[in-house]
Amino acid sequence: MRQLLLSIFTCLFSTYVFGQQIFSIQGRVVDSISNVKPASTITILNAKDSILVKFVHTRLNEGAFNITGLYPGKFQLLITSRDYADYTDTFILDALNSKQNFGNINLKLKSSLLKEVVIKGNLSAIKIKGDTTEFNAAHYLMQANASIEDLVKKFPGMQIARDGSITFNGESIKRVLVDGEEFFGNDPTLVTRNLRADMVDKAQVYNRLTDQAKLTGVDDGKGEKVLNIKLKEDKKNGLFGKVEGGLATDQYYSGQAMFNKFTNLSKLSVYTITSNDGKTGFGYEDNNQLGISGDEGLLVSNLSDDYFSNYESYSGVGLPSVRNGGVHYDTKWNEEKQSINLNYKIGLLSITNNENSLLQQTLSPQETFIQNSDHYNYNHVFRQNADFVYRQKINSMSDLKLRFVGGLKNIDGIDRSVTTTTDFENNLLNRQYNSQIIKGSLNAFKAGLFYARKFKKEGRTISIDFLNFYEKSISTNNLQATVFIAQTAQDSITDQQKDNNLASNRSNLDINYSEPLSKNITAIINYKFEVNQSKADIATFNRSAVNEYDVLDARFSSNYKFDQSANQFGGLINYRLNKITVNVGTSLSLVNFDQLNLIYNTRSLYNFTNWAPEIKFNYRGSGKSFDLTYSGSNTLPTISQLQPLTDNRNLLNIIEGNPDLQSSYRNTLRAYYRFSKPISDMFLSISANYSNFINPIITNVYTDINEGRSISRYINLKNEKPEIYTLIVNYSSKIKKLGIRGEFGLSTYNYTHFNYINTQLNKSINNTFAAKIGLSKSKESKYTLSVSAEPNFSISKFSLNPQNNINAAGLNLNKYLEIILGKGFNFISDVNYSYKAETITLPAQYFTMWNAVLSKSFLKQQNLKLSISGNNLLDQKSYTRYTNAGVIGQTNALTIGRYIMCTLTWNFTKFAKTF
Amino acid sequence: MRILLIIISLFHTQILYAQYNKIITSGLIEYEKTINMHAVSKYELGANPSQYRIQEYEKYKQTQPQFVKLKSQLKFNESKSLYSPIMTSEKIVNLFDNPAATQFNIVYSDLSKKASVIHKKVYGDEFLVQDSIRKIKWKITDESREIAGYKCRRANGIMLDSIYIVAFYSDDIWVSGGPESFNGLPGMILGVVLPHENLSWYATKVIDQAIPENDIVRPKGGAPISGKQLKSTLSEAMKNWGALGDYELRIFLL
Repeated sequence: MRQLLLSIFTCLFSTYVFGQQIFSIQGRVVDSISNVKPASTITILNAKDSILVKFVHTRLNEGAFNITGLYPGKFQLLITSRDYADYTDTFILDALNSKQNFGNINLKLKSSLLKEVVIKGNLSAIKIKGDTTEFNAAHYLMQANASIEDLVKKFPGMQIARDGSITFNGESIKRVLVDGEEFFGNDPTLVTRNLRADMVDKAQVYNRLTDQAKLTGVDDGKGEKVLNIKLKEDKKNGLFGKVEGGLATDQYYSGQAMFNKFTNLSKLSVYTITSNDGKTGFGYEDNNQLGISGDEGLLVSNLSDDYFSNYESYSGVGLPSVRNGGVHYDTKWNEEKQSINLNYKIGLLSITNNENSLLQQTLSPQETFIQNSDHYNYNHVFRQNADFVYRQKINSMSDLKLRFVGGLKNIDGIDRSVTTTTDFENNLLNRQYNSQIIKGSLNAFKAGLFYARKFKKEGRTISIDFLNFYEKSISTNNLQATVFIAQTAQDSITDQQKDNNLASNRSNLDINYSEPLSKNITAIINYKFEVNQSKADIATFNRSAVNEYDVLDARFSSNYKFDQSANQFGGLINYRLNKITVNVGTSLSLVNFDQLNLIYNTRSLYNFTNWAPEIKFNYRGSGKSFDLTYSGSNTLPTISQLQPLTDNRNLLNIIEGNPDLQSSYRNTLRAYYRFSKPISDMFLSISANYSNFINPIITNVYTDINEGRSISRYINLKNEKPEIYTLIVNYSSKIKKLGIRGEFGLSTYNYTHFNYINTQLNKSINNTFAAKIGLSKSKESKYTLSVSAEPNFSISKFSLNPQNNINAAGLNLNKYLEIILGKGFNFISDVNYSYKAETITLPAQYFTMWNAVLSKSFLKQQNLKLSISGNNLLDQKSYTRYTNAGVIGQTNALTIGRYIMCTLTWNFTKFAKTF
Repeated sequence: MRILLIIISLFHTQILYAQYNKIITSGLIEYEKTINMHAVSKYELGANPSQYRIQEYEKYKQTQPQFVKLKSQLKFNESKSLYSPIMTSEKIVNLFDNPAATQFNIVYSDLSKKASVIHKKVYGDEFLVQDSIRKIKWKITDESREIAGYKCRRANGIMLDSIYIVAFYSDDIWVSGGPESFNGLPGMILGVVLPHENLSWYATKVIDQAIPENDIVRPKGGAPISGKQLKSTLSEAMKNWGALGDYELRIFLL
């Protein structure tokens, strides 16, 4: 009776409570190593401004805590205990999650954690929370006016390449965020080289999940590694920037200006760069912004006008000149429930190049010929990109995101070459003069909508992602070519104009629904629908008697319309228990591809079925992680492999289609192990990969021995399986006694592949083994010295032409020295040496690149800097070489030679004083 | 033998832990209040000082030390604390009778009932102020420093609407008190700086000892008054003093 009464009471009481919810947290503090429950202080702060909300104490061996009387909001939990490292975590309380249970919270003794770090001040240098590694900037003493790049370089495990790309612990970092916000899209140097180190409070490296993964809590493996820069409170309000100009010998120059205005809720940045020194303004990975060549989803890849992709970026070959500018603006309002992020970039890039390439083509030991070509080209591109994202938190259950991307691109180019082919006894086989003048313009527009909703039942979610992508390009190519075939002693002359008209419109719909089946198991169901309509109209005209290009050449003209659609059904089961996650999933997609030839009114229909199973096992321990993945996927043939557009741009190499091609299948097995002790600066990572290909699409090249001309075709290989396997081990650690940081690596890359040379099947086996030893030592405000040596050895065997087999050693050496000379003087010297041993077919190769900078800072805040830098001091030229079964080649290109530059840099800052 | 060793070592670590994790819940703390006399004396000049007073101030700066230190102590147990000045015979030269250079409060705080009784001397008058303990909005930071052998974490606070406080508290002393009326942090406040007032309090000694309940007694004497009444009484009295009045009111309400 009493029981009954009590339960009625509780029922009544709980309904009452429901109207006026109780917000609380609970957990238990333990030290699992000594099995003690340390006496601790548990403090709750407002996550946004660190205002103290509540605190409690737990006595020795009491452990458990329960804090009530909280309210909805985002909080930070701080647990402190003498002799233990501080523990922090953030949590959100809202109508749905009014109670947060942290379970057991394991504290770690400082004595076990901080064996070796020298702590300046009292902040912990590095904190690790789940997947996030957080560096405290206050730990690293920096020179006045140092950039974020200078700071990030000092973090253990972090490496910055010359082009500004960042790798952490061997994994490349795709984006740099500022306070969690995108900043100028995916050119990290616009953050790392232009924001100042003294503005940084903390830097975090973590895996940014996709919107969908964030919602369901199930990592879909499509996230990317990001570096998030958290600014200091007092640097969030202010003006800062820099102006830099440099002039050099041989008419090289570089100039840039950047202006930033930050407030608590908004950031405005403007920059402009003009240079031709190949160092500034060539931000990498700029091209995927528009998705021009990006993710094609489930369908057969779009036909694209390859002229446009040739104009994307500067890779170190040729002489570049660049003029770029951009604006970034982001702001939040309505209690940060709504936000926009806007980026606009405009730029000109031109590259002039002269190159000579020498190619030895072997059909059999008796049938060898040599192709020598001289190439001149000039590419000029003008482009604009705008990117707009609007986010709104509709309520605590649902989110909305809208994204628009638009781009324009205009290209101009000249391409001229002379190619001669001779046989082994130096008798002329053929000669081609080729000249192309190209003009074109491309417009692209992308619009996306993402809607996500949670339900009252925890783990039940739905998300809808819709994307529409439109692209249209027009280009004109004026082709003039003369091919002389020695055997027939005849010149064939081409004088044509090609008008290329390509357009495509693609829509994707992606719906995901997740449902928790039990405490540890979640199921996700996925449906995708894609549709793509495109057309490719290529009209080729010969010159008429009146000197106009008005006679249609039907042989080289085509007009196609492509209709594609795909349906994909997928499912995934996610199982999670403590540190272990297992995902088992599969998807099936059906692709219809309809190709209509509008000139001949013929139609080709293709159907493909794709099946992609995946099994993933993850273990995430503290400082340890292990992943094992199996995945299988189809690779569809491309349109140009099936039915290429007739192309006579290179008359010495004609590509033919194969409409009977089937898709190939790839099996991949991947294992990845990481072990890190960031505090003592020790990292170990081991990754192993194996893939094989069933029914692969390979090339089949037929070369006419007498004329030296080739015809290429793609076919499926039935009986053999190409394979790739790699193993990479990286270890880095500090050698305590010497104060040296050491890095050691071993890697091997092996692959087997097949191709047909004049109807005979060739099997190539390549094995490369490499080792790396790197040592670096630095002394605060004195010097930094790092040296590394990378010896390697490669073996290549070709079944068809064993005389091309390679057994060659190589070596790369790097030396970087920075000396702080005092009185504002600073000196940097950077030397790279590479060596490739001679092979049976090619001589040995040496190359040394030496750059050095001497700088002096002026003024009270050292914000004016004068520097003199020397580029490629030994004025060496590099060249590339390659060897495969049929071909041995070498290319010499025009590169930037020696120059001495004088640069003046002015940094300015004005930050508002805040509490 | 071996087993014995293991047992001993286990026991030993247990003892070590007990020591490591020693938490203080009662004891005595000695504080030192430091006053930047050169800076605080300037406030006493008011808005439009006469030439004579400026000369007097300049002479004071040349002849007298910049910093003056005053001692005080805090007795506390888990629920109560009593903060009182330690009077010494040492005389300081207080040019304009600046209240900031005196110790006019005896503060009794009942931390469990969140109530305080403050005995306050304002020139000739004595008050017994009964109020709730002072509410301070604290921001916890990551910064820390050591005070009197204890690792303290920094918190920034705002009290009385506008006074900016920097405080350092220790997690190892589980009493949410501090010198004067400063309180409300997850541990004992061992250091307080009022940067704009040029005043600071730092603990010089922490003694871990049991304090009997009857050792912490409410101050006596003075006219009973509530905190609100005190403020209106004082502002009424000082309203014609101009900038000087604003300053002294601020100090007396500390």
